[in-house]
Amino acid sequence: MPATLRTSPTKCVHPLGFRYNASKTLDTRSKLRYRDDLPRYEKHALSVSNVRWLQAIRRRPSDPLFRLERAARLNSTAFVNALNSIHWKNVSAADFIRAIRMALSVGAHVAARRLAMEGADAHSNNTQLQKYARVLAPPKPLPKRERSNLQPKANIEWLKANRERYKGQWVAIKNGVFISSAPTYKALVAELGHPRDRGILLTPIY
Amino acid sequence: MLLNFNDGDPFATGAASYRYSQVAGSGDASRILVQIEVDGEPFEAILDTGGGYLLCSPELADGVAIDPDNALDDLWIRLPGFRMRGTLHRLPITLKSDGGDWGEDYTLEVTAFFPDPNQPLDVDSLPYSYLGMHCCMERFRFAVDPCPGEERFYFGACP
Repeated sequence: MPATLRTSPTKCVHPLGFRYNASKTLDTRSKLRYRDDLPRYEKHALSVSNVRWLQAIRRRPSDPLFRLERAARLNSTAFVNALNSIHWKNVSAADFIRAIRMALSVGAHVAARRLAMEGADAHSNNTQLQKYARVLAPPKPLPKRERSNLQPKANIEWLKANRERYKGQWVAIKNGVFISSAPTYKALVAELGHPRDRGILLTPIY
Repeated sequence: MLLNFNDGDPFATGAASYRYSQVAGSGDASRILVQIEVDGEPFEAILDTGGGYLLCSPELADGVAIDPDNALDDLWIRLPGFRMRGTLHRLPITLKSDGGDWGEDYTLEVTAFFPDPNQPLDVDSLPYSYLGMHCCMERFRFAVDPCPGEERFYFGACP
């Protein structure tokens, strides 16, 4: 038996099995003088691992988002790195949408917007992608409107003055005038009927 | 008095009082609560420069009609602290000024996220809407005066 194998406590720590992959960077390999110094089953396992590696390359899906999907399971940084490694020129509209949805689900919101813009440019006839680009676009100022009758300052002054009294309650106020209070939002809405279209502020006080 | 640059150009075109208060889940830390107007109705929203979108409370989402042509529905979204299912939608909101010397209101169209009411989400766990930075506050100027008794939120359009 070669000297190097005598010094290692076991010939191989792994039992030979179907899922056994020999390490290609096995420390002991560099110390061996001859290829035949490896134990018999270790040599076999190395060849099996090479075959599996080749099979994995052959069976790799042609899906361009394959790497993106794998990165999405990790974190947003890995996702953005994978995103930058993809050539988006020939990607279909459906794949753009898939990538945008993935980006949103991992929290890569800037990347989602970028993809939506690029997708909308590349597929200008696709209504879905146009919608994604529209919804994820930066905020847009709108023309001035006639000032409404709402008085936020009056509401805030009331809330500051009455905080201790209504702590833990939901309150309904309109332009600084108290309307009602209840322990929960649902109870307050039930008491008021539907409060919309009346300019009533419903808010909890902590 | 509104804020101006050295050359006299306005930095802010409106300013509003805000509430600096504890909210559910914030422990003893306080949050800046500004008043916004959506469809003519007042709502309080937390200023959240670390977040994204206008994250709508179920109360705000209650009465807003969602146009399916401008909505991305059945999305999973990860925002700091949680992951939620819901709909993204464009929504016009108005930042209300105190009026008079405090300038005028500012209306803009932002992207709002409406959490799906069918997922396990207690109304009381999200009582306020959140004004996030991305897709919401990223295209207007703002400043905060935190001096006690003088709390004011300044805002103005980007050129």
